[in-house]
Amino acid sequence: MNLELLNLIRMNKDERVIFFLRRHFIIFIGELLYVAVLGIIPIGALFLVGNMWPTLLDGAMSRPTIILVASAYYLIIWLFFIGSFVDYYLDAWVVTDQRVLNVEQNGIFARTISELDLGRVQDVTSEVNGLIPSLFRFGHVYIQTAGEKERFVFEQVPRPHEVRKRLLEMVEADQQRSGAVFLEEMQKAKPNEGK
Amino acid sequence: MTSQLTAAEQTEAMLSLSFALILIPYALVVAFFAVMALIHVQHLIHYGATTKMSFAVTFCFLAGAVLILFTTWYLLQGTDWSQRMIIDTPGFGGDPSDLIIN
Repeated sequence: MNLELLNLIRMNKDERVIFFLRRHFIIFIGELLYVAVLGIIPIGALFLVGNMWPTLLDGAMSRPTIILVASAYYLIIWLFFIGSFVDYYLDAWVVTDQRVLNVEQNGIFARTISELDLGRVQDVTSEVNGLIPSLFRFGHVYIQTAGEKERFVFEQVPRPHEVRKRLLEMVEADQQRSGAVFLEEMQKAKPNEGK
Repeated sequence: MTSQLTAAEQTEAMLSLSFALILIPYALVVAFFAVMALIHVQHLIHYGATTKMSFAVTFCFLAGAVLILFTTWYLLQGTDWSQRMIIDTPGFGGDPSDLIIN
């Protein structure tokens, strides 16, 4: 079994993983672009300051001050970069032949793991909304559960329609399996009733 | 009272601080960065650093951090940290009684 998966969740012995999903990689690329734009801003500012106040960049005190401020700024941006990656990488959705698991990292100190038995799934909806999601084929998958208002949401996962289709097949198979087990138990129970 | 002081006395009366003090807030930022970086890397190791991707990103992150700190050190090499910063407080002529508002 995938070692990474073992780190994320505890699997049952006879459990089989069908999907192990993360947000589409393009989401992380978007965060990287954001970091790149933030990184370019001081370079532009430096160019502007150099043109408007050329002496400021050579001052005995102003130069080291500017360097220290820029360095602190880049360290914070770099922290934002690793934070974005951790947030992207540690959010995962696992679908096994028995249950659905939602592992969510909210910031640094908050981690939520929720699970749902396949038998409780009532409805599955997939949604691809917008130009970029359509181009890169990612979107949300909503799982409606029995008796609960809250839905399980697989956010920005690749190929959401395929995930929905496969998930519904899994739910159907689980229901058939449960029905067969129930019938078997009933048949076992019947001969005992006569005694 | 301010008008009675000479220009030299006025400069002396202004608040003067060591320029090296500017390193204190920077050191605080670096300390914050180090703590947060450790927490993030620990999270990755604990929850899934067994993949090539998380290893590569962690490596890039650490390399980038070293690069930022090294560049800062390199650019600051010729700085005279013993120079004094003069902080001019308008209306303060050196006599503490000037600060009391009647």
